[in-house]
Amino acid sequence: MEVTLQAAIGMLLAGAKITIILSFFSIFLGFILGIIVAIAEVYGGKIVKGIAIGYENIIRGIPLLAIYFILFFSIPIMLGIGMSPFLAAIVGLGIRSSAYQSQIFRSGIQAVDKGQVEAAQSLGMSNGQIIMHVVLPQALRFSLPAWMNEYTIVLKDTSIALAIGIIELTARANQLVAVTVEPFLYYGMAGLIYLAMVLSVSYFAGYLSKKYKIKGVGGMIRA
Amino acid sequence: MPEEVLKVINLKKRYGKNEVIRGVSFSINRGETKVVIGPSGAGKSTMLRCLNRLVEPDGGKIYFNGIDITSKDVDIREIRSKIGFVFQHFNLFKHLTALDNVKIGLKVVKKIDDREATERAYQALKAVKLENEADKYPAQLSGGQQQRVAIARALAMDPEIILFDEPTSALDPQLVGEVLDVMKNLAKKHVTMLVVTHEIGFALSVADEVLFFYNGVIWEKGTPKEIIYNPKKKETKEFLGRIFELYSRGENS
Amino acid sequence: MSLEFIVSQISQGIVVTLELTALGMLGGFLLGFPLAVARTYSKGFFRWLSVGYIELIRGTPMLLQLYIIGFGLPLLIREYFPSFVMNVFWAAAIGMMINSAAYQAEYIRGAFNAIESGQSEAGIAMGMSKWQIITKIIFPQAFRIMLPSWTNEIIYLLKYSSLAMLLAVPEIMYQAKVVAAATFMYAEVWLVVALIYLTFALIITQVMRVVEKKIYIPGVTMIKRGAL
Repeated sequence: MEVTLQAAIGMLLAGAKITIILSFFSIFLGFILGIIVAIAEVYGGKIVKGIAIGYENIIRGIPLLAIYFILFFSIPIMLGIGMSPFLAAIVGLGIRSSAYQSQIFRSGIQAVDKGQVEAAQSLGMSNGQIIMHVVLPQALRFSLPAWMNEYTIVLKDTSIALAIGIIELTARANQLVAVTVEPFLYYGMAGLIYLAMVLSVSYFAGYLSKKYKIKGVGGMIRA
Repeated sequence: MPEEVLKVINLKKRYGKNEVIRGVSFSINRGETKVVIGPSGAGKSTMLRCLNRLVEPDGGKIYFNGIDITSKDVDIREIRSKIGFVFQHFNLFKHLTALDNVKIGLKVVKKIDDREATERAYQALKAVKLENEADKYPAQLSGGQQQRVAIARALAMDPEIILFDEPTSALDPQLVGEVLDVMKNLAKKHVTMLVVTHEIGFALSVADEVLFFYNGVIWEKGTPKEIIYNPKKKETKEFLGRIFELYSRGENS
Repeated sequence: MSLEFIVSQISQGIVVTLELTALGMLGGFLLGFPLAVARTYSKGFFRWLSVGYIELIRGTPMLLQLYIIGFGLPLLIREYFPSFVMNVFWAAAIGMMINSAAYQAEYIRGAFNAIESGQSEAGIAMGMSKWQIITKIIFPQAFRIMLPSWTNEIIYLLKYSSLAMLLAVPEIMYQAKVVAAATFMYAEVWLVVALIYLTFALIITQVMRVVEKKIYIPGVTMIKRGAL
C-alpha cells in the first residue's frame, strides 16, 4: 500500500505528541515520588529509610514491561482497581522513574555539606524549613544534569507503552511498516524524531545548568 | 679524566610562537649532582623532559654516553630505560603495590626474571627505607612515601643518571625532608643526578654545580655557594631574594 | 494445567533471557571497546564515526532498534539470499549487542579518562612500549574502574531483554504470557515474573560485589565528580 510522505509524517508527529505528553506526566510523577523517597532515605528513621530503600531496589530490579503488565493485569484482578491504558502507562513509567530519580536526588542532598544544615539549625530553623530553604534548592541544582539525563531515558522508554496499547511514536512507525513493508524508512524517521527530542533535551540541559548555576554550587556533571 | 654521562648542546624547544627553551648547553659527569633552579613556568620541566624525549626537542643535540639520542636511529626506549625520571606528582602505577611498582620496569622493560627482579626491587626499597611498606598500594602511602617509591622505581633500573622534576613541590612541607634525605644519600653515593628544585638547602649541601635557568637559557651557573650567596646577575639575585623571603615566611608561620 | 508445565515454560524462558543478556554484554563489549578507543584516542574519521554511532544509539529507544533489526535486517538480507529466514532470537540478541555497545563504549571511555596521563608518562620514561603501557598500566586499572558500570549494564540488559517478547522471542515474559493464556492466572503470573527478575538482579549484584571486593585495589576507583 502507498502512504504519502505527508500522511506518514503527520502520523508520526501525532505519535510523537503522545510520546511527549506521556513523558511529561511520567517524569513529573517520578519527580514527586522520587523526592519523597530521597528525603525518606536521607532523613527518615530506621523503618522509613528501610521502606524507601526497599522500594528503590525492588523497582530498579523489575523491567518496565513487567511493571506495565502488573498494573494492567494483576492489579485490576487482585484489587479491582482498573486503569485506562494511558493512566497505566504514566503510572508505570512514573514509578519506574521515581526509583532512579530518588537516587539522583539523594546524591544531590548528600552533596550539600553538613555545616550548612548545622548553620540553619543554629538559626532556629525547623527540619522542614531546612529541607525546603537550604537543602533542596542546592540539591536540585546539583541533580540537574543527571535529572535531565533521566528525562531522556523516560522519553525513550515511553515506547514500551505500546505493549499496553498506547499508540505513541514507535507504535505509529509499526503501523506504517505493517502497511508499507518499509521498515528502514519509517523506523528511521521515527528514530530521527526521537534523536531530535533527546538532543533538544540534552541541549536544554546544558542551557539550564548554565542559567541556574550559582557560583560555587554544582556545575556541569557528565551524567 | 671525568666521564660525561650527559652533554646537551644548544637545546631548543618552541610551542607555537612561544620559544620555551632557547639554546641550552651543559654537561654532567658521572657521579655528579647538578641542581637547576629558576622561576616557575620558565621551561625547566620542559627542558628536563627533552632529555629523555618525553618532549621532542626542536633543535640541538643531546649526547648520552657519547651517543646522540636526538637521532631518529637510536632506540629511544632502550635509552630511556637507562635514564631514571622522578616526577613532581610521583606518577606511581596505582594498581600495583610499592614492590610491584619498582619491579615492573625490571620485568617488562629489562626482562629480568621474577626472582631477581623481586630481590633488586626490595633492595631499592631498602635504599629509600620503605622495605616495610612493600606490599602497600600507592593510595595507602603518604605523599612522601609515594615519592620515595618513585625514586626506588627509578633507582632499581640501575640508571646512568636520574632526572628529578621538582620532586618535593607537590608535597606537604612536613614530608619534604624525608624525600630530600633520600636524595642527599644518593648524591653522597655518587649517583649521577640532575635535579630541578626550589630547595636551596639541598643545592647547598650536595650540588656540584647550580644552574640558574631563566628566560629559556642557563642565565648563570657556578658552585652552590657562588650562585646562592654571591650571584653575579640581577635576575638571579631577584629570584633568590623571593625564594628566601618565601622560606623565612614559612618558618615564621 | 499442571505445575510441571508452568515450571517448564518459565525455566525455558529464564534460559533464553539469560542467553540474551550474556550475548548482549559480550557482543556489546567486543563492539564497544573499539568504539571507546576510537572516541578517546583517535582523531578524524574514526572518532567521528564512533561519536555518531554512540549518540545515534543512545538517542533512540532500544525497542525501536529491536524492531529495525527484527523487521528491517531480514528484508535487507533477503535481497541477496531470498530463502533467508531471520531467527527472532538472533534478531533480539544482535539488537541488544548494538544497543549495549554504545553504552559500554561510554563506560570504557570514562574509565580511560579516569587514569591520569602521568602514569602513561612514567611508563614511557622507563622505556615501556605503547602496547606494554596499554596492557600493563591502562587495562588493569580501566577494568577495575568500569566494573560497577558493568554491573549496572548487566542488570539493564537483563531487564530490557524483556522487550524481545515483542519480537516473539520465547524469553521469560513471552513464556509468562503463554502460561497466563493457558492457566488464566493473569494476575499471579506477572508478579512471579517480577520476582524472578528481581532475584536475578539481586544475584548479579551480589556476585559482582564479591568480584569487585576480590579485585579491589585502594585508589583504583572512579574519581567522583561533583555531586555524583
